[in-house]
This record gives sequence, C-alpha cells and structure tokens, in this order.
Amino acid sequence: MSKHEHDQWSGEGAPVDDVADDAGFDPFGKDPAVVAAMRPRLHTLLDKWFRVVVEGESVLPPAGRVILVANHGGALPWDALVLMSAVARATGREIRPLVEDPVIGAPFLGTLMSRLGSVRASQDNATRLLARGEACLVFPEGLQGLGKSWGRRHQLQRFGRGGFVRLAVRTKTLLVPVAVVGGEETAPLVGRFEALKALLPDTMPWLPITPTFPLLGPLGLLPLPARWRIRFGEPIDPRKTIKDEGDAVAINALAATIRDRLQKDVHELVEARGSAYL
Amino acid sequence: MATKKTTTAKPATKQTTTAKKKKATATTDDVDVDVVEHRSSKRVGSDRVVAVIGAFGFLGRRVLARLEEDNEVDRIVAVDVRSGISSLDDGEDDDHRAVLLRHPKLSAHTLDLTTPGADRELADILRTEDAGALFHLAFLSTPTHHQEMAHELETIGTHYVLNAAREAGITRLVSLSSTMCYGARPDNPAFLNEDHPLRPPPSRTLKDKADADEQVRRFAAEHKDIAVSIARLGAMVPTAKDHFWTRIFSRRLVPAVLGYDPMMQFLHPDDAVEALLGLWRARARGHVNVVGRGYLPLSHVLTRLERAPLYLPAAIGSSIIGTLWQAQLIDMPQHFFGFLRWPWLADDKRLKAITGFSPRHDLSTVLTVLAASRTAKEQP
Repeated sequence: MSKHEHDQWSGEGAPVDDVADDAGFDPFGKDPAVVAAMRPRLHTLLDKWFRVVVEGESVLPPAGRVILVANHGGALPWDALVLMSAVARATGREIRPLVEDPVIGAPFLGTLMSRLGSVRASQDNATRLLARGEACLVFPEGLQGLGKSWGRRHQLQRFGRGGFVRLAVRTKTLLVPVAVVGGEETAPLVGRFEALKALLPDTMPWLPITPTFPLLGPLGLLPLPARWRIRFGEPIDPRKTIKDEGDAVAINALAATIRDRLQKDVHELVEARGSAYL
Repeated sequence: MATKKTTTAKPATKQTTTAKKKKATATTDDVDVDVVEHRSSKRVGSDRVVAVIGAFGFLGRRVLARLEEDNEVDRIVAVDVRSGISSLDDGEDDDHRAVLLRHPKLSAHTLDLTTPGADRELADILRTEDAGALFHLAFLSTPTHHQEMAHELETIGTHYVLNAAREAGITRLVSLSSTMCYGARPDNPAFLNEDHPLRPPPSRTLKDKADADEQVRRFAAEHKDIAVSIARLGAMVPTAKDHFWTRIFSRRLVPAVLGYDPMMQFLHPDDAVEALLGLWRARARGHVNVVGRGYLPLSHVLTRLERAPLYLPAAIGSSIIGTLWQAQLIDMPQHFFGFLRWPWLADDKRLKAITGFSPRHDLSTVLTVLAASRTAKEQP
C-alpha cells in the first residue's frame, strides 16, 4: 500500500462544525444513535442472511480521506448498506456512501440512508466529506447500475464522466476499487414501472419491479438471501497518471482502467461464489 | 471605501445634479478613477451617523439599542412606517420619557416605503441627518396574504432605499435577505454557501426577497465606493410571535412531510443582531449567510419543542397546505412546504472570516429558549 500525504490538500470547502449538538448529528444527517442501534442487526443480516465474505480489506487506510469505488446493482441500493456495515466490521471505519438523487430523495428510504451515513452524490458534498478525512464510497455507474435488469447482472455499466477521478485528483485522494457481488441477486430487477409517474415521488425515475415487489406489497422489499462477496483492490494514486483535473483524457482513461479491474474482479467473485443463494 | 468625514451638507438640489452628472460620465472599466472622483466630488455622509430603515421592527429595535451603546456612533436616524417613540416602548416603561432617555442619540422619522417618491423623501432625511451608514431592515418577517403590499415594500421599497443611499452619500450599507431564498431543493449540497444560485420556490414572498437581494447585489457592483453587504438570515427563533418560524412552532401540530426529515438550523435574534453590527463594523462587502450554530433533523426539533408533527404525504401535502393557506387556516403558504422536506442548511464560514463573529447560541440553547418563551406565554 502506498503512503499517502494527507496534509498536502488544504481542504477547501472544509467543515463547518463537525458535531455541534449533543445529539451528535453531522450536517449530512448521520445519526450516531441510529448507526449504533442498527449495527448489530445489520451484522446479523450480513452473517446469517447474506453470508458476506470480505477479502483484501487491509488495503483500506485506517484513517484519513479515501475514495472507495464500487460497482452497483440491484433494484434497491442494498450494496451501499452491505458495504457500509461490512467495512465497519472488517476495518472499524464508517464509510459514507454517495448515493443517487432518487435514493436519497425517496421517502423513508432516503431518510434512513442519510441517518446511517449516506450522502447525496455531488462534488460539493464529497469534497466536504473528504476534507473531514472521511472515507467516501462512490458508485460511478450511478442510476445505470441500479437500473440494469436481471439479464445484465454483473455487467458494469458506463462510468459516467469520471467525476470521481476528478474529485480524487482535486483533493489528492487515493482510490480503492471494491468489487461487490450479491446486490443483483438480493433485489433482482425484472422490470421498471415508469407509467403513472405522477404517483411516484418527484425524484424517482421509475418504480422497481422485482419478483416480490410490488406483488407482496411492502414485504416484497425484503431482501432475498443472496450470498455476497466483497473484494478490495490495490489502492490507486490518481496523481501518478494525471497531472491536473483538466486532463480529461487521462481522467477517463483511469476511470476505464478501474472499471476493467472491477469487472474482472466481479467475474472472478461470481465464479468463486458458486450458487448465488444456496 | 470612503472613511473620511465630510460634514457639510450641500443643498439638496445641487447635490442631485452633481450625482446625475457623475453617473453620466462614470465609466465602468475604470473603477479606481471613479472611486477617487466620487471621494473628491461627491458629498459623503458622516461615518458616525447611522440610519436604520425599518428601525422599529423586531431586529431594528435591537440594532438601535446596540448602536446606542456604541462609542463610534454619535447619532442614530430611525426610519420606519410606524411612527415615533411609542414603537420603542416594549411595555416595560409607561413613561415615554424613560424610553427617550434610553435612546439619547435617536432621531426618528416616519416614512412609508410603499409610497411613490419615498426615495426622494428618504434621501432628504439621510442628507439632512448627514448619515453615512445605513441598515436596510424594512422587510416582512412572515409571508402575507397582502401580496401587493409585500411586493411594493420589498422590491420597490428596496429600489427606493438604494436610490436614496446613492443620492445621500451613504458609504456603508447592510441589507437583509434570507437563506430561504436559496430554496430547499433535493439537489442542494449539504451546506449552501454564498456562491450558490438563488433558486426560490415559486412563492411570491420569496421571489420578492430574492429580487431585493439581487437588486442590492447589482447596486454593490455598480457602486464600488460603497461597502455593501447582504446578510442572508436563516430561520430565526424565538422572535415576535407573528414571525414565520416562531409562529409555526407555536402551534401544537406542526406540518411535516411523511418519510422526510431535513436538517434544520435556527438562529437566535441576538446573534442575528450581532452579525448585522459585525458586518457594519467590518465594512463588509457581498453576501453573507447568517445562521445558527448546529443542526438537527426537523423531527428532533419538534420533539424538543414538545410539538407533534402533522405528517402529510409529499405528493399531496403541498396542495393541502396551499388550500389551507388560501382559506387562511394555516400560517404556511404552499411553497414553503419544501423547507420541511429538502435540505437547505447554509454555511456561515464567510461571516466568521469577515467579522470574526460566529453565533454564540447553539441549537440546543435556541430551542430551550423558544420552548421557555412559549410556555411562559401559554401559562397565563
């Protein structure tokens, strides 16, 4: 693991008050009380239901800012939740998933996600988090990842415009690729309901259709017992190949490299896992 | 920044013509020369005379009291639509003389900013009083059903105030705005800073405030010789009981959005006043967010205030609120619903950087004070 100089970036857009109230909320809406209350339950879920296996977590720096880059899949953002609790247990770090607008803007789900530490994905929010020395988790596929159907599972979608690499270059932050398998099988997306959009919350582009939802009503939102595999890759220092954040070609090239590595890891993990449910 | 004190007030008519000529010859690409010219030719009000427009309002009265204590201030010019000293009587003194004794520097003028020609009248007042600094606090503190009046006061009134400030040789101007002008939006960053565009919801109340904010910004850009700052105040409690947030939280049931729970900030009025004075002292320029210390989700705020949330589904909540508002059954207009749903925390780093001041009251204190003030009211 390469050493990373944390003091080189002044932290423009630095924090306001870290924790300014005795309730301990952070400005992004994370509630330590909710995190503590949910932790044992999530750990049980990870052990008994998802049977999560994590490999290579020692590459994650124990402290200081870092960006985790993961693939994304499933009708619901279970991968953010699983990664959050798996990393917390394996390394003790509470990571901050950066999630898409429809997730953070969804009623109940969005509120719960932010109480647990999720943040709306934006350069501004990410910069503030990194300035606080937090570990951010990004899903460069974005909605494309969540919106891919069962037939395209384990196929990484395009990596947007490389915003996460630009962020890493600007804030001088290491990128750690994290391959995840299990999201698609936990909440398989078999269809997207886009008609009657007026009935959906105005931030949601579609209502996901899974084998159990909306067939079984709210119960259908419960996760299927898929087996999860998580693999951390070697950290990447973006400044080795990229001069500055204006270097768009090099930025896209690095994004593509990371995507290829993740795709390769995902295939290996799927193969090694064997049956998805049994 | 013109700091020198020019005391002799030229006759009104002559001043007007000079100012007009000045404007015609002024070139925007040579600002420095322009500033020097202004200093040498234009009459400048005294730094030790401070005018407050909207002086007898909730904030204005507190600003007046603090200016009375300030050794840098010789005279205070209070301008308000409410007449005279009786507005300053907060009920503690039956005798107006006692009020006058507490305000030895004060000279009060009655002026209605919604009447045509208010700019000329105000300019005359400022010039006669030789005012060099100006607090523009004549804004409504709550949305109103009298939208025409609100529009006249906030946008046209601000236009008049700016005209008068230019005419009368004001060198420092502190104006009010609101962080609600940013709008609460799903795509807002966790903290809004001053560079964030104003995207108020389609509410006339907030559009008027945002318009005033923009007018003052343009005025500042055109008049580099005047130190113009715009204080964007966050939600303020506890205030007078008719102010928006105080009133919302005075009800047993507070509207909330089902499934949403945005982080909230609340500013104590004392901190707001200190910030305004800080901006004036520092001759600050530009927009400055003024918000309280700390943040909590709305649900926790309601719990601490012992208020029950009235949960409305997001899809129809705003229409319900809108209908109730039209029927005058609720204190919240339709488009304020978003402020209970989406994030709109503001960052006040800039205030600290410019004035060195940061709010003293944290959120817990503010909520305790609000709860206490309410209980005191409910008991008798």
